Amino acid sequence: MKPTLRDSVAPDLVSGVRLHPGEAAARQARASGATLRGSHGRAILILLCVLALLALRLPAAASADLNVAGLVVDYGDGRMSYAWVPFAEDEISGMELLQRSGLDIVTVGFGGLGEGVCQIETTGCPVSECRARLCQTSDPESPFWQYVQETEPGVWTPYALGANASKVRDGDIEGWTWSGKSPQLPALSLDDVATRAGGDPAALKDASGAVPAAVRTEGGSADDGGASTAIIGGSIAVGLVALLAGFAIWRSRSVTAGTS
Amino acid sequence: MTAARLDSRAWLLWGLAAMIPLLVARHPLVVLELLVIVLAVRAVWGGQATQNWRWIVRVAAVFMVIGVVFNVLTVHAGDQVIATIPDAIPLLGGSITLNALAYGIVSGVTVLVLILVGTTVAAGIVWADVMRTLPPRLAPLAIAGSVAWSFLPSTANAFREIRESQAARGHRIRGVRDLPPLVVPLLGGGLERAMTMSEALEARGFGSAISASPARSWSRWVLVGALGAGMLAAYAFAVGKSALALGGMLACALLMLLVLRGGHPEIVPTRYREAAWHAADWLVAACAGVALALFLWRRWAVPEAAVFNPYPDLAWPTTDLLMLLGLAPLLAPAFIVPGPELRQ
Repeated sequence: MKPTLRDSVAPDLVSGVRLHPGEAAARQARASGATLRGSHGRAILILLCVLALLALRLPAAASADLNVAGLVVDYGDGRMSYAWVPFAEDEISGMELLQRSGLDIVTVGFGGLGEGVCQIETTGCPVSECRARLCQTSDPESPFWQYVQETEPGVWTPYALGANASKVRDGDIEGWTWSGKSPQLPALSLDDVATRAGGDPAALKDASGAVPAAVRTEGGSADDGGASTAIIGGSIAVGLVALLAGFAIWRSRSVTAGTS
Repeated sequence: MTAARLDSRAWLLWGLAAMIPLLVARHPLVVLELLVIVLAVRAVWGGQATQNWRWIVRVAAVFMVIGVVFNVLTVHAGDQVIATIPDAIPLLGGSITLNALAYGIVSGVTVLVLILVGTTVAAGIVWADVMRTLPPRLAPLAIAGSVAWSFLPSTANAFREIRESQAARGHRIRGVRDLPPLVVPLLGGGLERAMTMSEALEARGFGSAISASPARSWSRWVLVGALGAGMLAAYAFAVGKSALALGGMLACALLMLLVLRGGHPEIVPTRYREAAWHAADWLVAACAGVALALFLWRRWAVPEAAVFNPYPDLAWPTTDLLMLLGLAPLLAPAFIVPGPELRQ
């Protein structure tokens, strides 16, 4: 029951009978107390309803709103990586997609311009060269990490801006290719990428939380460039040179001491 | 083998052979080996001359440390994370990695070794000898370069003397405000030395106008052609036209040779004492040539053996034993015992 002007302003004149001041005050207090109890109850009821609705809605939202994008990486040596990356946001940047794919990447920062990609897995160039010209040399066909998007099946369009400025939405397929020429990537659908990456689109439907990204590399053999079978030999060679240097210094000093 | 001193040309060849591997390779073992070699050569041939260049080495060491810290703080790539700086700090926010530390140390030591090689060569050569080897047309340029180069150690000496003199008077450096008593006399002394040097050069006719002769008119146009070919070569190299760049460089070199060989009839170089090329010079030059040739051959054959890339995984780089052993002949100057006058 809502408190009215009549209830709150002139309780002693409600019935046309003038009440004793003490009794009037008691009646006013009872009336307002009953009114407050009524409004609290409604508020609590509404709050419970809202919470119940939210509780019913949350799992459904998690599965319905989970987006997914594909990523294709061409290393230029016959190897290709495919990544299938679910994400909860409406859109993420191309750099976030690359980071979430699980591939090892090396980037350098260019302040407000964002980051430049130097290496994906072991393909790319050292940071010092990357910082200068993003791996490119004076040769116009020298390779660098090109960033493209599949705008139509089989049509890979380079981005005008960097990977930090791009917007990746549900169903998009992004590509990175280590090449100095026009990107040559195959026509792929998101299902193709999911199949090759080992992703499970069905997992999105009954997912109650985050779905991990799937990534797989096909073709060629990874040339890690760091494998060495001559570490001990190299260390011995440097040690030998150090011994020779020590002998040369000792010989020079002994000859000098002998002559003086 | 003993030698009174090594010829400047031998020192230049040795310096070239020691610097090129450092400039084109960044392998930790190559850098370490060259550090050992240059330290040994300095230990044998380093007399008072290398002491004069010690301050440059100190400055290089300071910049090496700064370079390492800069690399660690700005490159956040790598799999070996040591610590993390909050992303809220611009530019520096991110992971501090062992990979960046390793790369920074290797790069810093490379610069330090380059400086050590340069100062060793600078201490070993005699500028008068170097100028004698240049064509007469380049004599004014060589004199100017020689004067400029000799000012560095003389300024270092002057600074040391001024500091000692002021210390004897009770002057102590506690901050920037205490620097003027050192800097003002240094500048004054430098200007005074420059004036004395210019008067001495003027008295010897340096910079006087040379009358044009018919023989020079054609060489001027050849020089223009040489410079044009050089510019064309640089442009072709920049846009990746290697064949055109090579052709331009060859044309430039040939035309420059023609110009320089044309000579100045007015400039007749005189020699008080003919430069002698001894067995020790042959040995050093030959060893430098062999070391450089072996290194370039191995770099062409095994290019990954000259690279150190610790990103994203910190792994030991490919090592080529022949490349490392091929650099050993650069130790040749250390096996030649210097004459008594250089041991002072």
